[in-house]
Amino acid sequence: MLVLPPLAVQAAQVLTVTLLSPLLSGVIARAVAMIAGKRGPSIFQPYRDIVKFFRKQSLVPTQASWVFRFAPYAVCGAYATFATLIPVLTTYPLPGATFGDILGSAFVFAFGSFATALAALDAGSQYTSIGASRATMVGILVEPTLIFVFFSVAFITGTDLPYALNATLRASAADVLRPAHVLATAAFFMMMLVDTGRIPIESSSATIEFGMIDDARLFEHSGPEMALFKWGGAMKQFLLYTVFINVLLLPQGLSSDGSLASVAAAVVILFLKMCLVAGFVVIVETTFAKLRLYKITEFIATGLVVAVVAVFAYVVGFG
Amino acid sequence: MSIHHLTASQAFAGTIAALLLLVQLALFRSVVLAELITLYAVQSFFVAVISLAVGLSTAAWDLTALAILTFLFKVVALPIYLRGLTRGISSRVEIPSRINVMLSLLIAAGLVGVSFLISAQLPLKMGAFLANADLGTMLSIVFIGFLVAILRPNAVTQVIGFLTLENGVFFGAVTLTPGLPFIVGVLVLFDVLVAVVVFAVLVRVLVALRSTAATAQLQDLAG
Repeated sequence: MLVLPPLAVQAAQVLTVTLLSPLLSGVIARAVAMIAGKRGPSIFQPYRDIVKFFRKQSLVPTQASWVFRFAPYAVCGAYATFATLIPVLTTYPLPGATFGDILGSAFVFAFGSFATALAALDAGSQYTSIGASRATMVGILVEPTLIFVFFSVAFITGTDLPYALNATLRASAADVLRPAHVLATAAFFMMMLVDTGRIPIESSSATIEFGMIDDARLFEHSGPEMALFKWGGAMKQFLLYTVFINVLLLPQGLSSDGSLASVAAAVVILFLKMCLVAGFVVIVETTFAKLRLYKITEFIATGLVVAVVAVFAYVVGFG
Repeated sequence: MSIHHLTASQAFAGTIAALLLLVQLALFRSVVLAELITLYAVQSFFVAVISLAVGLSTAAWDLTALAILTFLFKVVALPIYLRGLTRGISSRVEIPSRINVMLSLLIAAGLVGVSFLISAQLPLKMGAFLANADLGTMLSIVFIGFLVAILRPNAVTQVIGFLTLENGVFFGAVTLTPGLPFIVGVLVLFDVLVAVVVFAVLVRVLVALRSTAATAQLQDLAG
């Protein structure tokens, strides 16, 4: 049995996230189109888009500074770093995994959005600035909800290291279904819809500036920088799904010994679990209507109430 | 804090409790009539499921029968009837709330907190179905049901607020006192029927006289 050294497994985690994330976006786009009665793009379309952008010329607005050029690399770097901090493929912590707890990881994650917002403002266009301000508004509201979610989950383990959370949930299947945990998971799912730009918040395939939040920030970018932003967006979605699955919902199926076969199996199982979650997202995407912009705060506030109720349930000791 | 590991039945009851609470919060936030009715059907479905599960696991056939009755009546018949009732009213129109959504959400969170605290204080045993959490959920659903009825000045929302309140009580009755006599359960269902008929008459009168179901118009009717 070939056992991979921990560093190789860590590299495999980052590679899984970077290489498989466009595939997940492709699967979701295809599923949404099929439910709408269309044939839909190939599931490999996001890869083609990224390659296409890499081949194109890069244009920079005359007034933009180095921040504008630097942002896409910061985004991809932040998301690749985040991949080393959470359990993507293994049940045991890999080198560097304990550098940050779930809140520390969240800071690394938020740095991606921060860099994007800075670049959007640096571009000096009204559209990108509106996108940056909207995305920041939504981000500020999502943050406390996520913090409450992880507080409530951390109550079981007494720690908020993602690997420890994963181990506790794996220990007992019934514990995943305690009331507080169900509520916290639901709140995280709502925030995941917000953060990945899914339908109650914004329609991911729309091209009108009116309801755009995340994509509006990228109007001034082009060429390889645009490719990195698209790729980063796919990675962000993949990572949020990973956290949802491996830290909150379905912690089974990870590699526990680091052997080549089990790591390979973990990649496949992770992707299958993601398709399951994507199924729910697609149902939401096709059955709900997009909320008006000023209703988004109410959606997030409802998520916050759910997360707060989850913490209540832990504090008073329900189950 | 020491964590008690759950048994399968406790986890099941806990999940249903959490889902009921989630639906109740969604219902509280929703402003579209058609959506409210669908959410009520979903909530009734969860109540029917827990009633069926408790009935089967404790071999209480009356609870099983009650679950089937609940399903037929509250998941199938009542939502269809309510949809028919609201067809005359333009159901896409949003129902305004008396206070803004943020404040009402805060009040809801406070009420849930209070009901959780109260029920955690009571010296209940955890039991097969997580009694404390069930009681807390039941109280929260009742409180939020009241809040829906109070804050939305529309006859149909008031019916739905009342009906969800009854769902909460029924859920509590099933999980906290599995030996609930069959006749009580049927009486509760009958109670719902009476309430719906009364509200239906009210809605029809309002719609006929004012072509709206907003109860604010009732003050003018006194004339």
